[in-house]
Amino acid sequence: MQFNTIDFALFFPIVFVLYWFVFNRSVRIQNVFLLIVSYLFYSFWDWRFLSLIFLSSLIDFLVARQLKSSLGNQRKVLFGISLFFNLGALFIFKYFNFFIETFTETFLLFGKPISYSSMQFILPVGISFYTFQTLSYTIDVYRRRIHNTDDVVSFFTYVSFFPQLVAGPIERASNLLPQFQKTRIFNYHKSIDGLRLILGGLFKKMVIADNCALIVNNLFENYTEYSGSTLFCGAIFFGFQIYGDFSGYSDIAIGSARLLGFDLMKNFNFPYLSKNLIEFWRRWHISLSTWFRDYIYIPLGGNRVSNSRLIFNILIVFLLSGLWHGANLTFLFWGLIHGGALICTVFVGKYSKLNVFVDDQKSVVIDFFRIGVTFFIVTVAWVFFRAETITEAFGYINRIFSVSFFSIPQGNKLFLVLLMGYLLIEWFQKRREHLLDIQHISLKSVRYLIYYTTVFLVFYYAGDLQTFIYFQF
Amino acid sequence: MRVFIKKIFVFLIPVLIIWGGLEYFYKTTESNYSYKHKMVTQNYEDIETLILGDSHAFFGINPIYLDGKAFNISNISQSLYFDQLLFEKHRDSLPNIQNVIITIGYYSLSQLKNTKEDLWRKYFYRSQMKLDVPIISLFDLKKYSLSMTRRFDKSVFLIQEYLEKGTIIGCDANGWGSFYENTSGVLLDTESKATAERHEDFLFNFKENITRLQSIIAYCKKVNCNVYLVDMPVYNGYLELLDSNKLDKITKSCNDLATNNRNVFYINLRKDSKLEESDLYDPDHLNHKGAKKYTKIINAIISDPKNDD
Repeated sequence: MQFNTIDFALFFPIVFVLYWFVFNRSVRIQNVFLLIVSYLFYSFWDWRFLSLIFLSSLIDFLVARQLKSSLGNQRKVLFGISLFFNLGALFIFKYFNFFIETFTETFLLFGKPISYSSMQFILPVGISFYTFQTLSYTIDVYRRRIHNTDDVVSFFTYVSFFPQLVAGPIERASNLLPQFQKTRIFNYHKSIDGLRLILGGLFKKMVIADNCALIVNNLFENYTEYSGSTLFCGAIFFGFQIYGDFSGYSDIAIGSARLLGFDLMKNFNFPYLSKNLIEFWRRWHISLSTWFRDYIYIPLGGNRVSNSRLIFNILIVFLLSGLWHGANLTFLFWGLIHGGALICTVFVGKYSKLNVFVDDQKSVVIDFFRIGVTFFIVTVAWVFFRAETITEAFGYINRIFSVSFFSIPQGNKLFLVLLMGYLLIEWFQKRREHLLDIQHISLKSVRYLIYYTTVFLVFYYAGDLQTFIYFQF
Repeated sequence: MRVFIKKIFVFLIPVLIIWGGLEYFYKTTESNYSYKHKMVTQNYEDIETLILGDSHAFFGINPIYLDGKAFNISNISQSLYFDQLLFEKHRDSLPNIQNVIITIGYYSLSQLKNTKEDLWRKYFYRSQMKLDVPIISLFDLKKYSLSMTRRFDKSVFLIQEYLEKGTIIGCDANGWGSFYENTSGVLLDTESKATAERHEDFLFNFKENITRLQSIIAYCKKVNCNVYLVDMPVYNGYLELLDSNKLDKITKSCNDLATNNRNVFYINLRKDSKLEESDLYDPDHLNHKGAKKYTKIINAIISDPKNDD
């Protein structure tokens, strides 16, 4: 069940009414209800993989419980069990074939063909998201940063909470778990804001992302037939597609959770207005980048290390981030480009006197220049993210940076201008919480005009229904 | 909470009114689907030839040029899945049926059921052609609301069309699609590439659709009715862009059906030399002139006494 379907439009109000009016006698009853509807929500994709979520929840719940009373090596063994199960499931379902194929191809390069049989695994929707969420709980308990919970229902609901189950935000136990354990009171203003988030999210997904998808699919499938400038526009369209798709999903998730009395962490903060890559990664998929920061980058030493070690730390984080997105060399390259560009940004900021990319300037012109450069790097990297194969990605890039880069792009120019107009709206909203955070507009009629215009755009200009891109991760 | 629910309800009133209006429009305005259903039902006793198929049949076979009463029940993007459902719904009510014409295009035999093309159409078959459509799930909410099945901009377009022309029906009383009058205005060579790409599904498995055809053929055999599988003429530039192996497989499959069933005839007009550019609306659809010309050709073949046992 996708957020942008009639099914969800009926499912959610029913859940909302039952949650606040029927199962509101105690937190525990509400949690049991949320657990049931979350499993029901997931079963609309594939009920068989519910067992995987159940097992993942059970193992981490039991491991964390045992960790409480364990010491020394026993703790390590328990922690190892959790890692083994979670990463093992992720490896089998997501990476097994990739590694086997890469292994075989490497042997072939040295003239030693080896035979193998790949196994066809269906990728369970959202496996990377809930695995990282449960893992963060066990890691935090292991590091004694949080206490384990003995409330099995709360924990299972925390893992499977339907608004963020299949594509995040990847929540931390320290933020979300306590919310399952305290009484939730309906908050009018928060709920209204939740609705605004949902409306803004639907706009991003259905108007921006789904319309971009049609153009992007055509350009990437037939890239050999288009000019460099058109293909560059195609990469920009993909940038907007994935942004609209994923941040739209996150907004709807956060909004839906807010209507049920939960505060989920912010996942996007106007990333295309970033003035450098460091800022970009503070604004894009925040829940994943902070996950990698807290559980990989900082344990590796963070930035308080030698220069060579810093380069290593950044590269390792971005390679893992690429791999997290999918078992394909294209994602590894995407991570490598971001890692490499980020290292340059860090060192330019550290040593160069021309640190225009990292210092806070007061000039709007310089700001726009920096935003433009960052946007350009991110856009080029998106080609690797979108391409089916690494050969296709390089082919696409080669054609972009050919002589035809300077020609007038074919088609869809008006839509591109509209997307830039959308970025301008984000620019005006950049200090606000989200796109439709317009409470500061004092005239009620203007606010309602904006809401109704957005509703109209969602209905009238929605592209053909596309699956959320991040479901595949 | 009360204020919240009240506010949402008030906010949604305009949306609900529009939704109700659209629903009323779809429920009360006759479309190709409801009109065809009405006309076929009215003419049950007289129909001798029933035409099934997709847009190639819808625009390309005009029943008035066939001998005897014929009815064209094809629709745009109608798959063999729906051909079979429609045939099974009406077959017992057609006492004088003698011929069934089914157009076979490049993707007809490989087309899967419930594709993108059926995304909204399946609900119209169910609601306006009174078909029992198994691919619509019991829990599918769209089956209760036609306005939810179509994009809002398409609905607005249909309403505009209705206001301008007074109807949204695009076929005549015999079911023939009458709005491809001349040409689409796009160069055939330019259009051929996009059309060929759109039609390429890379599928070679014909099994399910052959089974559907066999089911229709088996019934027709029982009631002494002939089945004509017609591959309609298309622009050569378009044809050249299609997979020749798949085209050969289509020809072979249709020939096999004709060889194995004495009531089946395969009329392959795909590369017909009599086709002129002025017969075409676009690379794979006939216009009025082409429809007249080729319906007469098909009629001549059907009327050939050799085809009567």
